Amino acid sequence: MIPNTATALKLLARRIMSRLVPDARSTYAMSDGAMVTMLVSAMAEELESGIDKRIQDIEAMRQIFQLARAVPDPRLRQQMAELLIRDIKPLTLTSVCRIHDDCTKVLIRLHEISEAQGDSGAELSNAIWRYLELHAARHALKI
Amino acid sequence: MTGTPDLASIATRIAEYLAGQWRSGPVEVTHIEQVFGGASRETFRFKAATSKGQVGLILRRDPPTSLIDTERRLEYGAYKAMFPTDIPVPEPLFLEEDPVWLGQPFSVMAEITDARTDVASLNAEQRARIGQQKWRLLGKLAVMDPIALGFGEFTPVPALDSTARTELDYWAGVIDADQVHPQPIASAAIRWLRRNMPPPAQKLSIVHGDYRTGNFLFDPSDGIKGILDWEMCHLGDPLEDLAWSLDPLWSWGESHLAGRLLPPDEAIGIWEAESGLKVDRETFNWWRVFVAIKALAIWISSSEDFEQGASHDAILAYAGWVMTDRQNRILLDYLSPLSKSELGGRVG
Repeated sequence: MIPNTATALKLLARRIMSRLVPDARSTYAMSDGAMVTMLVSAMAEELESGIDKRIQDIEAMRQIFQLARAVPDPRLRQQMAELLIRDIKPLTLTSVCRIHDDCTKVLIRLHEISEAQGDSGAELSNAIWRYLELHAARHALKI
Repeated sequence: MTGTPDLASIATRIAEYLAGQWRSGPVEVTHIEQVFGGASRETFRFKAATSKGQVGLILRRDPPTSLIDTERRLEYGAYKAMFPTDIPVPEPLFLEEDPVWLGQPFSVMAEITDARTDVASLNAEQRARIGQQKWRLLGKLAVMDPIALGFGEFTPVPALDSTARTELDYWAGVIDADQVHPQPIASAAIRWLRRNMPPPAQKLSIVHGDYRTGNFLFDPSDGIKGILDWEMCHLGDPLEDLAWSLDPLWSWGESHLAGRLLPPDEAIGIWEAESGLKVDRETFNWWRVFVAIKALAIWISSSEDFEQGASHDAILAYAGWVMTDRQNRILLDYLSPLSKSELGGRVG
């Protein structure tokens, strides 16, 4: 078992950059190696906090679904009801991503409906924009 | 493109090819190296020597897909059309579509020497000078006659009132086809664009399609020596190129300078003065949102290419992850009613 996978990835990225890239035979290989190092560091970050960030997103989208219970689309109401009670298990990145994607598809449809409703949809629309701002800040890459 | 290219083999084959084209005796190819950057094609730099002397050349080889035939001929056609004009571009020499030589079609252009693309080390005066030239050239491009230059022979000629919709439909379609995960910010932006279509273009122009800092070669003293990467060239509204050149992505971290060179309003003023065209701010806002969607489509497509295995180049992953993140934040700045940035409230 790798005891601390994210830390291990960061250390390996540092090793690529400090030991392997300087010995590369061409400037192309050096540039490629530097970019790979950056991406491995980003992946370490994703491994560390990707599941938690997506669960926060899912919980936030579920709150929006509560706000949108009266949306005039029965199929959408059914989808929201199912997503509100779906168990977020197993806690793997792949599984959490799948639920996250399903919630996001509903969110997109809700946003479209709220825009079409004009003033009466403003509260829902603003809630969705607020979510999108928080989502972007939560997932902002630091490279 | 997977696997390391066999540079020695490429050198031998391209030497044979050039000897056949030039018919002036044997050709020796030396100093061949792969150039990093740009995932659509492999790019190599090399020297070719004959009895008459030595020249520096650039070779661009297609990836193993038939999907970009049109792009290849379009790009080469653009270079051929622009080379005789006042717009500096590398000299196009050969376009070879027979895969017998290098396994894939390729093009050869003359190398522009003693020049670079990175503006990071320029001082303020140099940035201003290069920036002024950059937007003067774009203004000049905007009012050239594309039909007289032969563009109608290798690219569609849209009507003035369909330029915006044609481009929007295309890039929205790319996002639809290639998104690995649903894109709520892109979806909102596309809806906004469709609700607020701009008026017809003032003029049907040659649109470079990727006119930005990083896509031209320059010398700090001599100025811009060549504008590169014409593969997204098309005919359309000149405001598209202007908006693309000013996208905040190209000056990430230095938002007060467009393309890390000039304040945006100064760049727009130079473009207007050179082209004689006017930038209506409301229309221009549409194009600013559009180019952010176009860029997002390109980054999303890069992600899809990387994940589906068409290419495992790190630059595709970088574009797909880092640029998508940044472009989404740019779109939020433009469109979110909650945006606190200086752009917030100016659009949407």
